[in-house]
This record gives sequence, structure tokens and C-alpha cells, in this order.
Amino acid sequence: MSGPVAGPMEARLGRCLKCDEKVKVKPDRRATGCSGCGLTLVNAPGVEGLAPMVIPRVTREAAWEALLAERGLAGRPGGVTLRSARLLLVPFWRWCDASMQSVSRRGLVVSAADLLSAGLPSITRRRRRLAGLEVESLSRVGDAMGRLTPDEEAALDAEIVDVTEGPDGADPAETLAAGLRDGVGWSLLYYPIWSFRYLADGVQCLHTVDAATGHPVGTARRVRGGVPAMTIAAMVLSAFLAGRPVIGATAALPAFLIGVIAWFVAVRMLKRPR
Amino acid sequence: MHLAASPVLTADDAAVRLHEVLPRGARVAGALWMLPFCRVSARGPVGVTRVDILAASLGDPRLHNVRLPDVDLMPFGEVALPEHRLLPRTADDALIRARARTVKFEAESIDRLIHYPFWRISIAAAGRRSAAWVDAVEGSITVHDLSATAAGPSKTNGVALIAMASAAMAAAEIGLGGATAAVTAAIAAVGLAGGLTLVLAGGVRAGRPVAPPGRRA
Repeated sequence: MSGPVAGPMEARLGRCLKCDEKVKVKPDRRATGCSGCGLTLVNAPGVEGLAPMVIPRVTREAAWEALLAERGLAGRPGGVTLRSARLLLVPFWRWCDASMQSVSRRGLVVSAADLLSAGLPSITRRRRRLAGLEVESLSRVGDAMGRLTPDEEAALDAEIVDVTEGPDGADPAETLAAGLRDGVGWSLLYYPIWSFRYLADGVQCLHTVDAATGHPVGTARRVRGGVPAMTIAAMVLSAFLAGRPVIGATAALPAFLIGVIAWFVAVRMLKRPR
Repeated sequence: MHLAASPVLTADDAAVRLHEVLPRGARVAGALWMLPFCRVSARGPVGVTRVDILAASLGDPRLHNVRLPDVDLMPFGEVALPEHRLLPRTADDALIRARARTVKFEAESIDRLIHYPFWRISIAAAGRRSAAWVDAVEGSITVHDLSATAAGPSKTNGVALIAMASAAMAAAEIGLGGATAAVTAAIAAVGLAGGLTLVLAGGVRAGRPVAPPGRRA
């Protein structure tokens, strides 16, 4: 999947993958605006064409504060050492069907790169939602994606993640080459993610924050066990009180078994990156 | 010049390199990737040396600067490879130099492109998924985010708490018939809960040997 090779400062002619407009872009620029649809396009190395992006709306500092708050590390400056903070432009595939396009109905977006080792689980056809990540809702229409000004395009300092996964296991290069036929097909887009590498109490952590909304994503999200724990406690007490008039103190045994089963199910659900 | 290294380790061998940090009951699966690295002559704190910089963008900064083991490198076309995924070089010279600078090296020349085999190990344990990278030649380079203790609520602690709560309710029920019986029952219940906890805790320990992929450890 190789794009045209340009000289050091020679602008190349690319094609907007959203509206098919021809766009000139310099090789050293990561983003440029499309004169046809007005969206901000990503100049990704190795990708034929220029894919649209959702613009970042959250600063590095705000994203870092949100991550510290989520992990319960806020107010402990001595115990946390930030090693690196990078803005990533992460690729995703969106299924487009012009006849069924809707502003309110949820569409299908899947990951075009596997960043699980970096703390960002993939979105697949089976697992369509990832808690904290708003890529589907913010890429539904152009207005939600936003637009960078020319100065912001020039100043954009982000790492563009390579497209390594095709939808449903297909070859990504073939999917990109196929493009849209009569408004139907898979379309590539980029979404901004803040990636933080830090030391917390001697443990190295690599976590991500949605750079459009500021919500921690994937493994960065703290496991919340308060409500499930209260629910399980209520189930155990209810089982005991229900069995007590019939079998007396022995009702503690079924109450215990019900509680353990419910607890195992809750732990499994809590640890899954939703 | 475009060179490559031939993989030596299998996916099982690579997973064994992670056995100290894999959670109990983890399911692992490996996929072989050929990752592109640029071998760079660079000036650093101790003089001129060679640095290997990842020539692609995978989103994981820990892969950007690795010290590839000294192994026999062959022309790319001559290396026999099993089923694998080949990543092309997508990083330009400017990005290569910028990555070298992050580890305090100033690149003087970008000498060659090397495709090096890495196992990408997918790990699923207790409903949680993660991934790790292990080099497929010596297994000396491991990149992962695993720790010895699992994040989130502990099954053992939860079971122990539920056991003690149930035992306390039973003791209270029995205790209605007499204070001495209640105290005795409570002690027995706590002893039962404690014994249950010890039995369960004995089976929960990090560092279990890794079973072949697809089977529980």
C-alpha cells in the first residue's frame, strides 16, 4: 500500500476520499483542507488518497488531568512521572451507504489498526462500542468532525498510525483501493487520541484519552465496582431472608452460592474493556 | 540495502517469555509480523554507534527504539518465512531522525532497512484483553503492559467477603437461641470463611507456566 513519492518540498496531488476532489498537499504537512467538502484531510504515508479526520478538541494538559482523575492519581504529583505524551491520529473504517445515511442512527465503525498493546482495544463488528471513545458519533456527519484552520493544519504535530487492519479481516490495501461504489463501501477516517506513557508508583503505564472529548478510553478507565457490590450484597441478603423461614440458618448456604456466582459474573463484566 | 532476519522462536516459545507476568488462566495467541527497522549510524552520549529505529507507526512508542540482537541478516528475498504479516516502511527520514533524537542520538546516516520478525501475542484473561510484542529470534525484546497483579476487583477477596457475610447471618440466626451458641457459631463461621479463603488463595498466583496457545494455563 504505497502512495506516490514526492520530492523534499514538492507538493503532491492527492484525492479526497470523502468527496473525490483533487487536493494539493506538501509532503511535510500532516493535514490539509479539502476545497470540495471543507473537511480536514490527513496526509498519511503509504496511503493512496487523503482521508478525513475528526479534529482534536482537547489539549494535552486537559487530557492528562482527565487521565489522572480517572486513575485516582490527581493530587499526587510526586508519585506520577510523565514520560511522554503524543497525539496519535488513529485510522478507522466506516461503512458508508448513501441510501441509509442518518444523522441519528448509529453506523458501523471498525478499527483499521491494532493498538491493543498501547492501551486502545480494537472496535470490531462484534464489539462496536468502546467506553469513552466517540469515533462513531463524531464521524457521522462533517459538522461533527470539525475543521482545522490553515494555521492549525500547519502546526498539527501528530503521529499518523499506519493502517494495518482491514474490515472483517480483509486486506487493507484492497479495501482502500475498492473505495466507494455508488456511495456504498468502506471509507477510511482518522480519529485523534492522546497517548500517555507514565510512571505511577513505580509501575509503567501506557494509557489513552479521546482527544475530541477528553474521556479516558479502554484500559485507562478505572474499574467501577460500587454498584455491582451493593447489588450482590442485596442479592445475598434477600436469598437468606427468603430461605430463613423455611430452612432456618442453612439458608446461608444458597445465599453464599448465589453471591459467589453473581460476583464472578460481575468481575468478568467489570474487567472487560467496554 | 534491504535485509531481513529469519524467525527462530515459535509462538509458544515467545509466550513462555511472558510467563512471569501472564495472569492465571490466560489464553494466548500469536501472529508473526515482519516489522521494518532503519539501522542508523548515530552520535550519542558515548560516541558514534548504531541504533535501530522502527520505520512504521504502530502507536506503541516502546517499539520505536530497540536494540535488535546481533543475528545473521540475509537479503530480504532470500529469507524463508512462515505465514506472516509484512509491514512496509512508512516513516520518512525526518521521522527516523526525530525518533533517534528522543533517545538522545543524532542520526548521521540511515544505513539500511531491516525487516525483523516479532510475535504479536494476544492475551485474554478474566474478560480482559491485552497484547505484547516479543522478538522472534532470541526472545530478548519484550514489550508489554502486563503486571503481576490483575487490575480491578479480586475474586478471592469477594468470595471471602461473601462467605463471611453468609456465615455471620447464619450465626445470628442460630444465636437467637442463646448467647453461648451464638458466639460458638460465629467463631465456627469465621473459621470456615478463613479456611475457604486460604483454599481459594492458594490457587491464585501469578507466574504460572504458560500452556500452549488455545488452552488455559
